Formats: sequence, C-alpha cells, structure tokens
Amino acid sequence: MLDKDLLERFKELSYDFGRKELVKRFNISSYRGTAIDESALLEARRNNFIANWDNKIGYSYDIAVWNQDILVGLSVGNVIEVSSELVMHLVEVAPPPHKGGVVASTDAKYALRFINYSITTFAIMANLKRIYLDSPISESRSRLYQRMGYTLVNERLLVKEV
Amino acid sequence: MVAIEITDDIQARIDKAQKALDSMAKSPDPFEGMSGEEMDDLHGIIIDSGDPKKFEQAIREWRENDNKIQREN
Repeated sequence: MLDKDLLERFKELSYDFGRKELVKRFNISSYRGTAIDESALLEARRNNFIANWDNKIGYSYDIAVWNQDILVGLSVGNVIEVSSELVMHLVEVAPPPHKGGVVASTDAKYALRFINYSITTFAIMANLKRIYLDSPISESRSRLYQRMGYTLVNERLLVKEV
Repeated sequence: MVAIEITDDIQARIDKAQKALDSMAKSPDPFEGMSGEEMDDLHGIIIDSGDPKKFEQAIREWRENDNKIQREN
C-alpha cells in the first residue's frame, strides 16, 4: 500500500520539478504549481474554465499551474495501486482572451509543459510504471502528446512508460 | 509541506525523476513546428476521460488484452 504522506510529498516535489525545469530550459521563473485548493477553484470560476472543477475532488493527483497570480492550467488523475499506474482524467488550459480568459497561447504551452514535467516526475518518484491519458479528440493535440513520449495504443488511449 | 525523512531510497527516486527530465530535454521540443492555428487549439479542455470509473475499466480491459498478446508472442 502506498504511503499517503509520501505520495503527498512526491506531489509537492513534482510541482517543484515543473517549476525548476521551466527555469532551467526556458529561463522562465514566473510559473509555479500548487494543489487544486480553494484559491485555484475560485480562479477557475473567475477565468471561465469550462469543466466544473468544484466537482473534481478525491483524486490522488492534482495540480494547478499559475503564471504569477494567473491560473493557467488544471489537471487531476488517479494512482491505480494494484497495477502501479497513473491515470490522468482531466487536463484544462485557461481560455484565451477572446473566450473570456486572460491567457495567451504562450501560457498554454508552458502550462502543458509544466503539467507534463510534474506528472512524469510524480509517476517516477511513486514507482509507477505507466501514465494513461484519454486521447484528445483533436489530431494536433494527440500528435503533441505523442511527441511528449506517449504512444497511441487504440483510438482512445495514450500510454507512456516511465 | 508534508515532512518525510529523505531516505536513500527516496533520494534515489528523486534522482531518477531528475534524470528523466534531463533525458526529455535532449529530445526535440514537442511544440516545435506547431502552426499558429494548432497553438490556438491548446486552450480549454485538452484531455477529458468523461466517466473516470468507465475509463479506468477500459484501461484494465486494454491491459489484460495487451498482456494476453504479450504472453502469446
């Protein structure tokens, strides 16, 4: 059985890995990760996020990505202990200005990078074997995840070995 | 912050995670070559499994089938 405190610590460390990696690779220091707390939920409502994030509770992995004080991305997933796998259920990037948001496509790109770094490092630290994602409907998004190291194993499923 | 003792095992896991990021940094940037239109598409819900229980069941079924194929080969 995975230790709950240990998983919490790995989650925090994964946010730190995401932050440091953006600094190291792109010299960008304004992004940070947190758990999806009350302030993230408030910002998700205020910034017109589409999913009802208030209902997304009880997941074993959650991340909110911020650029300074602006919420740019959210994601949740579950650890499947019996098979040592991480299943990411929802990833959302803030809407652009013309859809009532405040986030440019540059932020979207860094938010997705941050989430990718964080979930990968979390899975490794938790000794998990694979990460699963539901394949995005959009072809270009699916190709993006394949360039991030995921394999499309059927019409719905993206898998990454870690 | 959750306080845990950083044992050798935990430090090894942290080092392994860092190595994975270093390895990813050597690969081409996944965003390279994306058109403006594709970049504009990176907003809103990117991944949504719908019903988490059904999706996790679909993964179990895929995994069982994949294991069976591996065994047969």
